[in-house]
Amino acid sequence: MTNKEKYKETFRVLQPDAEQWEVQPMKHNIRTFKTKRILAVAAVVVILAVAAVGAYAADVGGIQTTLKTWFHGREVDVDVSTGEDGEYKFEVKDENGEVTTAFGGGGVELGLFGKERKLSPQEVLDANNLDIVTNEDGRMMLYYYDQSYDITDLFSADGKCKVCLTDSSTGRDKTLYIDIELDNETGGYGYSTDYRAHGSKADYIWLDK
Amino acid sequence: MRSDTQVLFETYRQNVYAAAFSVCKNAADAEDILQETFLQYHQTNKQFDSEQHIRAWLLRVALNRAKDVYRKRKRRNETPLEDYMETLTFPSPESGALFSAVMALPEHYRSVIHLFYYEDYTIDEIAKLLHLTQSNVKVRLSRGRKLLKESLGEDWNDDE
Repeated sequence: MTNKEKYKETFRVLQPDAEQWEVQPMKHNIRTFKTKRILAVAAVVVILAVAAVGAYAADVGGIQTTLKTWFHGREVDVDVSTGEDGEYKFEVKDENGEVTTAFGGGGVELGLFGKERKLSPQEVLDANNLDIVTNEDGRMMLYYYDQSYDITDLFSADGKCKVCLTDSSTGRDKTLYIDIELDNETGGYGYSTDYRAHGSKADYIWLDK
Repeated sequence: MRSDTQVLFETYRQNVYAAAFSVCKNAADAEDILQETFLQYHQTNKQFDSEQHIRAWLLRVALNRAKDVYRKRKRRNETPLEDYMETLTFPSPESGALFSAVMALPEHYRSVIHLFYYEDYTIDEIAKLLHLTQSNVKVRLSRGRKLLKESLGEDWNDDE
């Protein structure tokens, strides 16, 4: 065997992690309660999602289906309809049928390099099992399924927060990287999630380790 | 000319990943470099002469980025290579030894060695791709081979 053949045989074992390149749902979410507006997020792919969301958040048949999601650490029923602007409208009601929380959203699944598919309402909700809320004490809480974390003190001076946690929702433990950015003008914030770190992994703070 | 990014990705993802890894020696960084390289291709308006021109451009972008990442990470003194090697299944013990020997080479030898032995580029092509002189490439190749021979003994032939 020549040196070239040996070298090729050896370095052929280097393969990118196929799991890393699975198509991942990205999301755009605007929530109308408490006047907070979740802003466009930093990752390029998610900005594409924001740009495309109007076109893809199509009719789900008017009224109305009820789905389940996690909200502020609790599993709740959510009524889904389609708003005039084409986005899905989600409503959470209390035991008396009063709407306690309403929010809208939509999304696209971005394949590699621009191939797109609209998300169903359930997929949009599943992509939003992460939630960030400022509570009555002024603490900023990050909710993920039934987990909650106080991230108030984890922001850098420029209003950015990079955290990660273990995501077991797919049946396998994977690290979910979360980038959060405050907008001082509106008081809102935006965030993106990804199974790949944006920048150095060392910049992310573990929430559950 | 331009080629579809998805098609290029399927064709060259392993080459770009292996090239990046051969320099940065870190799987997570190589994954990031792979993503960044193809994203850069997707976003550039640059026109290419041929698919071979695109391939060389992708490898150059990946190698340059890998050098930056490696030098930055080196300063942080992180060495996860051994852990990663345990996850690889080499076809023979000699392959594992060759991999270790290449990874132990100085960074500026590794990229030249990789382009020559894995990508089948000629000295002239490597010089153009890395913006080096031909004599510089020859020196790096020769010194890299010598170090591999010292490390591997009879498992590294005296041929090219």
